[in-house]
Amino acid sequence: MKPTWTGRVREAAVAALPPERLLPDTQPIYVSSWIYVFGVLTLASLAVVLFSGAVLALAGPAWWHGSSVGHFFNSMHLWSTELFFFFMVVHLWGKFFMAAWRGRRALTWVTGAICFLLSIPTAFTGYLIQQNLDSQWIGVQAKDGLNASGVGAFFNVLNYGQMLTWHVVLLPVAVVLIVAGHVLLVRRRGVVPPP
Amino acid sequence: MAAGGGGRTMPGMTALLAALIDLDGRQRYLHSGWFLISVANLVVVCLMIGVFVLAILLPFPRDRGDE
Repeated sequence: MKPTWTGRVREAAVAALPPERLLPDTQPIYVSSWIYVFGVLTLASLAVVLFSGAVLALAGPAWWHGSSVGHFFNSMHLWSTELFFFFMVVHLWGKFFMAAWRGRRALTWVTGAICFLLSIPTAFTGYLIQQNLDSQWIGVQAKDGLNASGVGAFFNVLNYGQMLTWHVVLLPVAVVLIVAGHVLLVRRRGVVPPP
Repeated sequence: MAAGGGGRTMPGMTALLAALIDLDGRQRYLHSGWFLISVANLVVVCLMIGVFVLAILLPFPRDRGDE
């Protein structure tokens, strides 16, 4: 065993995910099915969400109200989010009916479920920072429900600054981390075969 | 509201699409007893089910060398 913690971490990482498993150049024959493409479609949508969101963050949340370019990026952000959820739900259905938690893949399933649950408040806080009547309506309606659950003391949907930081920092970082863990687990355990 | 923002006139294709699908109109809902869903959400759910079924049924293209 290596004497340093960095050496031990490297040994454990390489043992868990050797390079040929981390970046394989072949896939099992059963992956040749359309139902297996929705995971990567979800990842592609997430990449567009992050790119368009980064552009919107650079220019500020009010940019899209007065600029046709800003409006374009805002629409790209909205529709890539719609596609992200669309593909993620079809991916979830496919994996559910395959019982994808088989073969020591329970943690892969759980991280996918957490990703889905985290994506909901991420999108929700995005709707809250549109700076229009829609976001005001959603915020006022959501306030009562969240206050009834007791969450309102920590998560105030009418606090614009708080919702902005949740949407552009905390929740996206959490989603990206959990997605990265999910993909690494898929690499470690392999793509689940059909039942 | 103009599609391009800033009060400009809609370009031709945008105006055509907007005429087909009016996203600024009142929401339409299906309501039966306890069941309530907007038509927009119902369309998305039906599309997801359709894509799911097609993904299972449609053959996946393969290289000729695999056959």
